[in-house]
Amino acid sequence: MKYTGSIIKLISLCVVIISLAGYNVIAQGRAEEVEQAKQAAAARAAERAAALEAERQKQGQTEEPEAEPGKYKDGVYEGIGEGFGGDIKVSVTVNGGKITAIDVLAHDDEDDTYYELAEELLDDIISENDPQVDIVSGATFSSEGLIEAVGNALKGAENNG
Amino acid sequence: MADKKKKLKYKKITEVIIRVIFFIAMPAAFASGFVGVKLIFNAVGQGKPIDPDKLLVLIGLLAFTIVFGRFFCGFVCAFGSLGDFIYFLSGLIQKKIFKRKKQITIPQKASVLLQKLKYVILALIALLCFCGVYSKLTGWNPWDVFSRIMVFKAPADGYILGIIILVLIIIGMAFKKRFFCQFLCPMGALFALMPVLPFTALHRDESSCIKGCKACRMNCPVDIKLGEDILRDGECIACEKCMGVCPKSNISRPEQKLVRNDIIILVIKSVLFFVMGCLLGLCRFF
Repeated sequence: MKYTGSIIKLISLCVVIISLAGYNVIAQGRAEEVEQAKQAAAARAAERAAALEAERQKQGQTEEPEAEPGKYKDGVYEGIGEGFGGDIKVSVTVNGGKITAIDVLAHDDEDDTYYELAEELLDDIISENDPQVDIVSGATFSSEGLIEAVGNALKGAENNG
Repeated sequence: MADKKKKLKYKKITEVIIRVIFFIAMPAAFASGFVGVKLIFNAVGQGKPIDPDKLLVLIGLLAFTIVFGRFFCGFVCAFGSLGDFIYFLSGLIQKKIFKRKKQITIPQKASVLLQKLKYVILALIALLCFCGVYSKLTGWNPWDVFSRIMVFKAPADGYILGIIILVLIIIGMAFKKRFFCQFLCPMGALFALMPVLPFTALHRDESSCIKGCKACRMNCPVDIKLGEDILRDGECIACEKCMGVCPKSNISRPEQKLVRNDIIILVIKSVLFFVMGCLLGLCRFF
């Protein structure tokens, strides 16, 4: 047969594509379930906190519980890190002692594919309130640049006692 | 005969211009495409869904290969161009300084065996990604070092292993045509597994071959046995070196029935790839 090799390759390619698509449907469903469970847990925790607060007020304990000092001073800070092809400039907003937003001001020399991959870790930094997060594999330089930039920005925000 | 030589010369010049443009404009295309493969195995290993938006470069490269063969390997890839340039340079040095008439190279039988190595590398990287250990193994990837050099930056700290591997690969490139492409490239392994549409593959009209002529085989950089009517071998990098060297012009593409001049076809494919590359964000300028 003239085309046996090509046909085998074509069939295996189709099998791979179909199984990846199938996998993605299942994985997406599972990710949504996890997300829903997380939200439900957060809602329950908030409810409990509210109930506790109400009880405390009933007992006449009016004084506010002392707010724990945050890791960082509030404000907007800028920092620069070295990425794949040049400097990455970010602006970090700290509110209530926590990192609430990170805006990338400049990433001119990054390779778009890598940069877009690395961007994900900004969410991790915000949720962990710490710039020392895992780098995104396959986008080492852009990741390191972003982490360095955020770290440099936060140097000016550190609460030293 | 003189006409044919002239045409070959023009084709060579066109090829060099195209490859220089791609080398400058899209030096990281091969690595960007391969990121998609790592991403898939990373995601599956962690049980997370795959974000299809991040696979666009990979899908684009594979789709182009299915339609036009490994045109990417033959003309676009910066690592391939680097390899050809180093081999050319090495040949020049061996000829001028060491007065060798024939360039030292690896025998065909050994290289056909070594070609299987790239599948092992592909499988190994996939496995490492699947187990989630790949991202911790920084510092070895010669592509990273190369792409840093391409943007005129010194390699990052801790990339000593990567630099050593890159130097070894460059030494290999001096003694074998397409050393990296055919023996080591995991992206090349993936391309070789893609089916290629039959109407863009090279065809060979064996019936009018000169008896005992092995010009096409001798000139194939990836040592393909050109013993069949249609070249369906995944190793073929669509470089068209066999087309030019055939004394009877027996090797052709079916598409040449539509456009007789193969230089025009080459330019059309290059423009098509360039536009696709720009849309995928591979180009450094657009």
